[in-house]
Amino acid sequence: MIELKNIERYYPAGSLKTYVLRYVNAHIAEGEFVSIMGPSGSGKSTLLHILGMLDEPTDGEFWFLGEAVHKFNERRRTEMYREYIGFVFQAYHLIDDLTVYENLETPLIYKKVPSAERKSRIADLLDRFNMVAKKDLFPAQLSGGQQQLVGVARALIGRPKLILADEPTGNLQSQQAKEIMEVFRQLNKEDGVTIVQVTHSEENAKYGNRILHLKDGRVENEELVK
Amino acid sequence: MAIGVCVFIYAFANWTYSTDQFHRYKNEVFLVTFLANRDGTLQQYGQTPRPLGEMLRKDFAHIKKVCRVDDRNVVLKYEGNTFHERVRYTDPEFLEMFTFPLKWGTSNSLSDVNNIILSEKMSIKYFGEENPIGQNILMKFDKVKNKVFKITGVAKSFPRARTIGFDFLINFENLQVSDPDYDFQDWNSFVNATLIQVDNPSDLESIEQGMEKYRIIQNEAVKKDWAIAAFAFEPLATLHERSEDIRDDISRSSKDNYASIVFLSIIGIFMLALACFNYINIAIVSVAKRLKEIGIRKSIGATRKIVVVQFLSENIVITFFSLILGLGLGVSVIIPWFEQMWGFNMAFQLMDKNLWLYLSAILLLTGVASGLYPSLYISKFQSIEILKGSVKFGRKNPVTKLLLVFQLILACILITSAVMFTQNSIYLANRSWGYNQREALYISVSDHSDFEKLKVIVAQNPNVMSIAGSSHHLGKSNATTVLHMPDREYEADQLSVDAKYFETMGLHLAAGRVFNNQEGSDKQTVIVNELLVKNMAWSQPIGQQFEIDSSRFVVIGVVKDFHSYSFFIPINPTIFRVADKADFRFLSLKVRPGSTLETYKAIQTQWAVLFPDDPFQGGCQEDVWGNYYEEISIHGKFWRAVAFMALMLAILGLYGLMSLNVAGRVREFSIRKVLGAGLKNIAASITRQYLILFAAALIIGAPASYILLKFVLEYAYTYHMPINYSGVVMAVAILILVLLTTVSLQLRRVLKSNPVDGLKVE
Repeated sequence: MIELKNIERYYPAGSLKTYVLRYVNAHIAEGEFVSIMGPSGSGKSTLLHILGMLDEPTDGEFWFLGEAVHKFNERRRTEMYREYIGFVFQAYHLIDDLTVYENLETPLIYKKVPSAERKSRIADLLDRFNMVAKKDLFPAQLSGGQQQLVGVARALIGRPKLILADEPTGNLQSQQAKEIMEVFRQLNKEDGVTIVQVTHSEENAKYGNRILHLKDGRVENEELVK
Repeated sequence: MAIGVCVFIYAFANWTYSTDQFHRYKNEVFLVTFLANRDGTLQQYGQTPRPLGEMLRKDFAHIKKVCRVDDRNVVLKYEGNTFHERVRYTDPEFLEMFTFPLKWGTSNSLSDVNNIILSEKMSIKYFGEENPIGQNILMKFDKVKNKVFKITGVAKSFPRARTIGFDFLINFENLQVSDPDYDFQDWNSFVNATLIQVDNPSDLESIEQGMEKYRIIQNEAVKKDWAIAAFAFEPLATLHERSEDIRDDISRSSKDNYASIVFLSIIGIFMLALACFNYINIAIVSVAKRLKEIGIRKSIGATRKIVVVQFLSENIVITFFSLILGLGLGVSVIIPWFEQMWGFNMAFQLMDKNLWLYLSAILLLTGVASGLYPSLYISKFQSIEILKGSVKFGRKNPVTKLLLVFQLILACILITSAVMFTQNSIYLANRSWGYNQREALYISVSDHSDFEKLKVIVAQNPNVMSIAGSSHHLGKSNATTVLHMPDREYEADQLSVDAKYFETMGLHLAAGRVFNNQEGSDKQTVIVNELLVKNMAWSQPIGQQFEIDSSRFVVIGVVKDFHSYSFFIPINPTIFRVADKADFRFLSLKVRPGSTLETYKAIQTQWAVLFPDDPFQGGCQEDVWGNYYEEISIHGKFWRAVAFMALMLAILGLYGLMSLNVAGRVREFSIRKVLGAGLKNIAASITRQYLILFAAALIIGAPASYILLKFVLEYAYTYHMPINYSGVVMAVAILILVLLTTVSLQLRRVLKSNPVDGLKVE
């Protein structure tokens, strides 16, 4: 599904270049659950953003579903991730002014999904995450775990093939974190959604089937979870 | 910028109100005026019956000084320089009552009938920079009578802000030299002005009571038409405010200046308001960045009062700096621009203590007005909430939105006025004068024999198509006369002309006929204008009769209304009478289209050969309104400048508000982009909240500007363009364009931003 070839990302710093990523090669197959680990500043988030097409590699090739993303213009990229990718953030990043329902609806409006279908998709998801009673509340009225649940739901609403999660449990208590990870596992196993997550926690990393260890912008080693 | 405008307004108001205030006896000198009944209302006149001055001097012990003033046209000759001039005949007290300082010579020299005093301007005109004291100058009263005067004084140039000045002063007694029949005791005639000076302004009351005696004398001496109803005294100190309402008085000032002060003050207040609103809006939104500071201050024990005081004083400091900038702008840009446009000097001084008082008032007012609301708003928050980060800020504030709407309304009004004033000046430039002013020329002549001589020469010019003689001329002069009808007395303008005048000037006949070309015929007939017919409510004007000076006249024709003087002056009811040939003072010509200037130059040359001693006086009819059109176009320029500034302020406000707002929503827009929002989606979500505001502002602003401008145009112009919606529509279009530009600039910023940056968690 994803093929990364010699991905590089650097910023000019005076006459020197500050590398964030160097010669990153990776292959992620459909249906995998990959965790990316590494110390702060190792380039995890940048890698995730490149995978999510929010950021561009300065060099290298990025193939997604057989298409050369590194050659796309911005509009094609937008279309691409609108269609196939869902994002989950550490800080949830819900829109404060919108209710839970409206937050879930927004991506569908952008995808120009008809109103009736929007309603049914949202109703399904709310049902699945047991959040029907909370649909008219604003994010500020929810607990962190609940907010992240909305975040996951919002990532799922567009029926993506790939979910990218940037430390999805970083702001949560362990009990809530566990619940979210269970949701991911379920999505991966039952719905076949490919998941790539960035995490600090060994425990959470083990929910995936493979762990990529990043250090100083390079993939240091790969570890398969049994 | 707003403060710069305020400084300018202050300078202008100060200039206007300083008129005549330099005279030492401004509170003791009074202009004698009288009131007379004209068609039911009392009209104030600035002239006085000739004998009154002398009698006042004799009869009242309180009256310290009396001065009579009469103006005459003469020709002055010094070596090669010969010009037509207007000379002021006055009693020697003139320069004691009006304390004009002299540059050279002595002011009491006027008591000698052979002396003359010049203004600085005239001294330069005849003598250049030299001191002319002791020189002799020849004054020609008419063809035969002349007299040599010795120059004994030159006045320093007058301040522009004065109502009464002079070019030349000579002793009043000279009237009998220029006109041996001049009767100082004739109650039927007038002098242009009589001024008195008392020791104490409170003495005036007893003088006023004594005036009844003169009223009786005057009423017995004159015909009923000119009977005076009462006398009144106008103090010099306030004459400039009143002179517009007094007819035929010698003082000059403009009512427009007072109207302008009102308008300018309103504009100034608008501008300051716009600036304050801007500040309030931006202060509220930008304070979000200082929330933490406020939270910390409060948590370490600052009370709400302390926070308010802190913000207010910060604000006053900021206002102070803008005040300095504004003052600089006002002094260095706006005032010079205005002065240069109107061609005068306002004598603006930075050291004026009232100015500093005024500026400090502005400082405090705007400082407090713009700072109070934001500081109260900010200080209201609980420190815990701020520090917890749960306070949401700024952009939901209804006051901010209200202020923005208000700003946009003001901008809309000012832009509409700029558009409308521009349209109006274009309209007036094309408006018909009611006669053919483009192909007409006029020349003034001194008597009938000159007229005939000139006519013979001019008639040979192939470009001349028609020649007429008249004692008055459109745009130059007219008489005023009273029409007696059985049931009313009616005052009208009178022009005495010959039979060819109508054709020559291109006046349009609406009914009846013009005068016969035969000598001596039509002496008892008149031609009237449409306005007179309308005011008389005559259904059949031809054949109507009335009396003038006890002889009967019959109406034989009606001409369409025409503008004698500029469009500022309303059309008066007017009659034309046959002029006596002996009274011809103007020769007017109609020339072949396109040859106006050429003919004008040719005649000027011929005149110089014909009358070498008599300077040429004449011109193209199009020029009789002086700099009227220039003035109109200045109005347009002025409003465009004002509108531009208002627009800039509104844009600044909108831009500032939007960029702060967008900055506050960076996270949201980033999320939206990550969720797949495209250009349109983002545009919609930025615009949505402003769209309603724009719509509201335009819905209120457009009709408001229409109504306001209609009122202003009707107030400021006697004749103006028909008011339609096109001005408002254009203004709204300009405003929408500007708003869209502002919005799209913001949009670009959002679109170019990388969502990753917006999503970083601090």
